[in-house]
Amino acid sequence: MTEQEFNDLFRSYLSETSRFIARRTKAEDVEDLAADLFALAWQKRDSIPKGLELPWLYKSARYLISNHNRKQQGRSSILATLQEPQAAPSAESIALADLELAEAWKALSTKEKEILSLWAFEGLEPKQLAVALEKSENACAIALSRAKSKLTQLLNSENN
Amino acid sequence: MSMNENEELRNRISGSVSPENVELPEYLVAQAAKAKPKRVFGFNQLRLGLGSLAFGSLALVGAFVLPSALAPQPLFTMGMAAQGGQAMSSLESAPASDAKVGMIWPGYVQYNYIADGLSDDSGKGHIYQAELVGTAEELLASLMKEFKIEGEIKKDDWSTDAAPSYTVQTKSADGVESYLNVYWAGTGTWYFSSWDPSMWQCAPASEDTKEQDSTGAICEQPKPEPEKIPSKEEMANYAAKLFAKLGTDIKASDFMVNRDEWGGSAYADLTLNGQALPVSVSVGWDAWGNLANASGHSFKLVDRGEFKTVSAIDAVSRIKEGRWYGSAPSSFYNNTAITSRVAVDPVVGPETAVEPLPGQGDAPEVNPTPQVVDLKINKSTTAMLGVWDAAGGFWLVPGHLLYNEQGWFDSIISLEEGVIELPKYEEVAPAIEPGVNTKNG
Repeated sequence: MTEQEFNDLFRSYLSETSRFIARRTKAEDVEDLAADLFALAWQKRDSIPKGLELPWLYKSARYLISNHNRKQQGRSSILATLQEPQAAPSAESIALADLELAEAWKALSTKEKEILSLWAFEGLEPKQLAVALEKSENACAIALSRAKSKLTQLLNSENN
Repeated sequence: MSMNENEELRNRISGSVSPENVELPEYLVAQAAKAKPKRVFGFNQLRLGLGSLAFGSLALVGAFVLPSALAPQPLFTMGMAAQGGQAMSSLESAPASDAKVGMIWPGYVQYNYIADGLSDDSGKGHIYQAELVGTAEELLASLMKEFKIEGEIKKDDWSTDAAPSYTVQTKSADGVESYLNVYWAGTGTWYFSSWDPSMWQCAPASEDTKEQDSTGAICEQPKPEPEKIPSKEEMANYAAKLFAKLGTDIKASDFMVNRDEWGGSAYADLTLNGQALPVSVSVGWDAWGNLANASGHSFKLVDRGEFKTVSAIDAVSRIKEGRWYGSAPSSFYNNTAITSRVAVDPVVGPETAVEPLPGQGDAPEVNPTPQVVDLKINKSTTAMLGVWDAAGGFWLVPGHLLYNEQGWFDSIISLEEGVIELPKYEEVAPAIEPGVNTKNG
């Protein structure tokens, strides 16, 4: 990929990238994280799967955000250091708009939040989720299906 | 789930968060392609000083033969990460910064911390620095042998020279997927996981049902086989043997073991002279008795000297400052009844703006009024706290766990001022996110 091709392609993802990061961290950190993300993309440009550049950006952004959040929060345990990246929006962040959903959201596991966020906010389907979450397409389809069912059940139980 | 329900759920989630619009400059992409030297993300700038890691351990040891009062420079510079997570609950400015990302915190709370019956005895405590043992390659080799996985060792995308990170991912002939990661900084942490996706396989949906679910899969809950899960005693013994083989001696009786029909786990804090440390190891099993995950470290502690510490009463005044937090051993959290952070009644009143509905214009500017809460700190105990330095190294420092009347505690470093360099304290002006706009009204 030439510099020009890289610029043309990744410039078109600026707004999606901005929204993805802004949902998951503080506004003042968005530009720094995005700068790191694009620097990483340039370094890895030859290994990014063609046509799946955006899910690749989401995958890498999850790691950057997760590392960033960990360092901000000072979580020192090994689990915090080595667990899969956690960058899903918190229940609190959605509480302003939808308290019922926020309550149900709290009861989801981090992985469930993550996959639902990528599906709902970023509009990813299993093929793209597979890139973003580094799992097989089938595993993503299953995980997404389960997460949706669980969230729906939780929402229904709140209504009853 | 029908197609409509599917879309409804998607729309409901996607409509729930409106991130602050951050317009990224187009030069960000062009700048990346200019092969600019990569910034090491996440580490604060390394500040050189006598105590800095840049001088190496020899210089560090040299520094400690001086009485600490004569030591002209701090031992190390704490990274922002060094502050414990629970600091967020104590910093009155924290809700403000949280609010920027839309967290619900209708008002903000100003705490008055009041020492009640605490000791005013100062004391002394040791500082220890984590030093990696062996090399990342050696650790990877022994872990791959232990967990019987073979595959290419890849440097992770986020790996840096200062904090290399390696991963091996494999899939066995019978479909079991394994993941091993070594993060070669701080305490040399590693994590292993293994899972068999076939246990969670979903049947392909029929053409009829496929139309109703965009994922095209119907999943049944797998049936656990608890009889295959090791007993608690077996789990503790296995964990003790595993970590002994990998260089960490922990008695089987020191593991906290949990077991139910969906699996089990053995977990232990590392200890030093009988004191729990904020560093832990764990092993877990799945619902069919297979080893599902394990995590550990490869480091030793180097004693960097004994230093004077402040009393519990003096430590109380540090809570508010926010810079003195360290991470407490997890066993202290387990022993504390934590159902929530410090409980306060959220204030939703006229001082909190209401987010306008679409089309109603911008939210009015408001000046939030803090809710003032007096909090008595009525119990304290000492503990070794974990902190990260600005270069990514891990240290243990003496501290006080200061328990408040509501059952929570703050873990505050007890070293006298000047022994270590703290992160700069920047007060964040309260800036409350425009209020509450709920579907519930």
